[in-house]
Amino acid sequence: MKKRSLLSVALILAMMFSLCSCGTTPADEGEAEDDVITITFGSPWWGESGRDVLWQGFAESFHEAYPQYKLEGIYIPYADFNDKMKTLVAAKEEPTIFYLQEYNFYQWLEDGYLAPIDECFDVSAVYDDLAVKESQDLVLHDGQYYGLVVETCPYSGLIYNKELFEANGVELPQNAEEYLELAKSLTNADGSQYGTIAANTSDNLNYIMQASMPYIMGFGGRIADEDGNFTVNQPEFVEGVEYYVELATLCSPAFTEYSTQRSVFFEGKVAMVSDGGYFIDWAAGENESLASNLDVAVLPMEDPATPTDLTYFGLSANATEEEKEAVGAFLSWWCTPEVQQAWIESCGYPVTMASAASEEYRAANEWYAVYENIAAYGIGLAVPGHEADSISIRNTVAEYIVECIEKTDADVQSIMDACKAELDAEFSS
Amino acid sequence: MTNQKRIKLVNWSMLLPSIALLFFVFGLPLIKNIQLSLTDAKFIEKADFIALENYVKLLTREDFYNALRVMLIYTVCYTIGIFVVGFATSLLLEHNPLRRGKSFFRTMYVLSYAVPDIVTALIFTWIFNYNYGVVNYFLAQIGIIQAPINWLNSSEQALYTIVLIEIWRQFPLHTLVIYAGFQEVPGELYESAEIDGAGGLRKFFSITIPHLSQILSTLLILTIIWSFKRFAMIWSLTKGGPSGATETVVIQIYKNAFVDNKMGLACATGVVMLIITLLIVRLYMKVIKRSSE
Amino acid sequence: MSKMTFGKAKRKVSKVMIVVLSVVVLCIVVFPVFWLLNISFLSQGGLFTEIPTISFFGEFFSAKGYAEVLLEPDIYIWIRNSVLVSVGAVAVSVFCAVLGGYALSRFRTNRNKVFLTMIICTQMIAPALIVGPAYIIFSQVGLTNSLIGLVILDSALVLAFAIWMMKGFLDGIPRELDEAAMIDGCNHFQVLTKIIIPIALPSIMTIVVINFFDIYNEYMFAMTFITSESKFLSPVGLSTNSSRVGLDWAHLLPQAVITCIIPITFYFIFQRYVVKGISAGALKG
Repeated sequence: MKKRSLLSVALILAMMFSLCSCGTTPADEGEAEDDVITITFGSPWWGESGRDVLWQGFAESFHEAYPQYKLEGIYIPYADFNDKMKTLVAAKEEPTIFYLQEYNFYQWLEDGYLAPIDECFDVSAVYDDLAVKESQDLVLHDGQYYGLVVETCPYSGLIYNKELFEANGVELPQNAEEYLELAKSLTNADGSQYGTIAANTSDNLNYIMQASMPYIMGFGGRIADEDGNFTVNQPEFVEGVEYYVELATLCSPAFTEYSTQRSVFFEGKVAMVSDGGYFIDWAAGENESLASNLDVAVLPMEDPATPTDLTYFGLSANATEEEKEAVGAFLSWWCTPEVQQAWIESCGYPVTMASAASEEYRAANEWYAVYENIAAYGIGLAVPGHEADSISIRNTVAEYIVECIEKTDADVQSIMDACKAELDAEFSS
Repeated sequence: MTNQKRIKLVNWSMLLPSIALLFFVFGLPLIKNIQLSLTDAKFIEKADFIALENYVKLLTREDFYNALRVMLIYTVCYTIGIFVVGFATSLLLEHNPLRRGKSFFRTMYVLSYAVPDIVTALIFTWIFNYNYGVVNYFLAQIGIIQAPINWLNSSEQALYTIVLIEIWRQFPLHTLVIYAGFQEVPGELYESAEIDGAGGLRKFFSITIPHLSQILSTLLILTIIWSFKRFAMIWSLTKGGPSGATETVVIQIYKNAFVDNKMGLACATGVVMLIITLLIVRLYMKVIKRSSE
Repeated sequence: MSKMTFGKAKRKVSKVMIVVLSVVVLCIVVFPVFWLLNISFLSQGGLFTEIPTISFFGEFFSAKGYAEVLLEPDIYIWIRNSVLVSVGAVAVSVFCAVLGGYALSRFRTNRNKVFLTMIICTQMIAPALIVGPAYIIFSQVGLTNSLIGLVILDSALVLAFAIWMMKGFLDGIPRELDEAAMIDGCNHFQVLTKIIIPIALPSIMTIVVINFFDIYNEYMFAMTFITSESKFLSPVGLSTNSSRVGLDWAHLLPQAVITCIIPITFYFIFQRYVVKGISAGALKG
């Protein structure tokens, strides 16, 4: 009896190992070529469906173009990117180049993660051809660039489901009130259809900020003014939060993780959402017939400001001279038109080079113009005057917004007053 | 070599692997933890010594008291709940009249212990989902609720929902231990009590419980210590939200260290939590000693 | 006479009640697992219906997620890593626990009592408390992003409890047995391997099973210490299946089911040891 059970365990183990042996990736073993210099690139893209294939392709064609260099992907999940980077740097195992977001820039600079990217790549040579020069300027420090802009992703695009609009016989909203009314009227009580989706749970505070700030900024609300005074309890901000609370509780799948809400959207049950251009490419991967029904307009808010995700290639402070050379080659390769075109197909908003948005691309994706236009009103995610604390501050604000959503009949003004008090106590300079 | 010396050598060589392992994983980091708690470390870069500033900051923060409160409520509800469930299930097993019922039910009851925390969290986000969850649907169908209940994302009930989920995941160990305890009560005691005309309840309280007291008191303190340490379930269900309603001290430590760049503060919180745990254990030992005397 | 039958009937009713209640508890225990299985076979549309759907014979049945997940090489690697780490850590912790438990049970010096207290005290240290500092120390000796590092960590996490249980079991084995063997010329190590281990085998299996669950379940260290995708353990692989856009439920749910298969199979094979071992006097401190 005992023997039999031990035997069965051994059998299961043997089966698993034999299954694995065919699945092991050769990445760990490395190649025997001594003269190839390998640089690593840490980003969430290596693990995102669609983009993982794209980036594997990039790595291969880069190696073809420059046989002496090799690009190796390190997948760092988006949800805990910052935590992971921190531990990697601590263990001195950080990738040579990595996905750098604008609101991390200040902190990572302060903590010594970053080397100027100018040391291996002349940004000024391509500066005039950049799609959004303002984005590049945000990582200028002491006359040196610390990153090369990869994408400028404004979130205030109103992505809507044309089919659903036609079926309900409604038109695009022209202002904030119409938008809310429409979202309400398109929401069925039985959960078969929703006006919009809006992050409303605490499990991922990033999503709360991502989804709510387009509206809050649309009312003129800002986390802090230019002098770094927190303005989260100002009337504009409070009005924006109140507006968002209505969207999050009355017009979207209530109290459901945002990622799940997005799945509902991909099922074609949601009429509108405010999001970035990548969303369309993503929808195409999830539900092709839905994607062909999507179109984009500008979110009809009074203030055209739009929260914008800015991503750069950041260079590790510990990169060796050899690696820097390879990074330089990679970045020049990155700026070539073929690569840029492949990249913008996946993004749908301005990427590194202006040339990426070719005539053909524009013709095939008319909505791209919306993102290009609103990018001009883009506002980065860093908090003015408190750049190095941006992440903590945004998390704090998000927690209070969740509180407004989750408490029925919440007094938004007093909750945001409390938020302001906490921010002042924690982050006053 | 004398016998005495040889025994000493054997003793050492047998204990060495355990002590070395525990020292490397718990001892060294604990020393480092105390050291970091006296600095302004953000993560692990070089940091300046700031004496007790972290501790002062910690003890004046409302957040910390909130986390303590949450941890306390969590521990009390969890401990009571899991013992009630553990007793109920082991009594059901003990009195099961079916021929193979005992072993069948005992085997099946342990099923949930084999489901990893992360999967458990995933399952219950669906079961307790506000819109599409089967629990809300069921309760609405039998007419108990009119509007759906916001199980996991309301500061009022999220903590209790998590306690329920944790009990579901953890109760089998309690069932097994308590049930094993039942087996060790000599049958004659029950027989003689029956002759005296004792009912089921009286037998339970005057024979079973006293007989189990040693096992139960150990299990109780272990449950409390373990409940202080639970992390994965809360982290993947709510990350401590909404509005800090499920932010236990452990969650706060992790958040401070890995999200908010306050390693020094996180380490100080850790030290204070360790002291609280030690105090509770000491107090408990004293109570146990007194009651057994 | 009538009183007798009434008593009998009452006993019968209570028997039926016990069976009914047992079945109710069984349902509560099994239902969530069943539900996971159910929704893992739903197409995405089936997840978002007003009335929760039973997938197995409905319009929303779909095994596409499984097909796609099972074709991913990653998932096998993650499960293999999990099994390697669990088996390794269980082996290390049981090895240490048997030796340590024997010493603490047989040599009752004052110093050993202090050791026992200190070992038990490590149970009070929450893993969250040492995760940061331990990371620093492990990175200095090159044990981060390494499965061996995880084996060391995980075996230490469960060691205190294992030693304690082991000591409890061994206390229950009469010392006359070792003494008799000693007279026959055995030394302590021989006593341990020839006499004690065979007797204590069911109890050792208990520790093996409980430790296996706990280590397979461990999340915080696995999440923090491992950074490359090829070294993820399966619970971590499950939780990192998210991106800027969101969770991919169609793949996540089948993956969750697959993650559970190993511990559940393991349990059904070894479950009788758990019960035996615990009844032999686990928590006798």
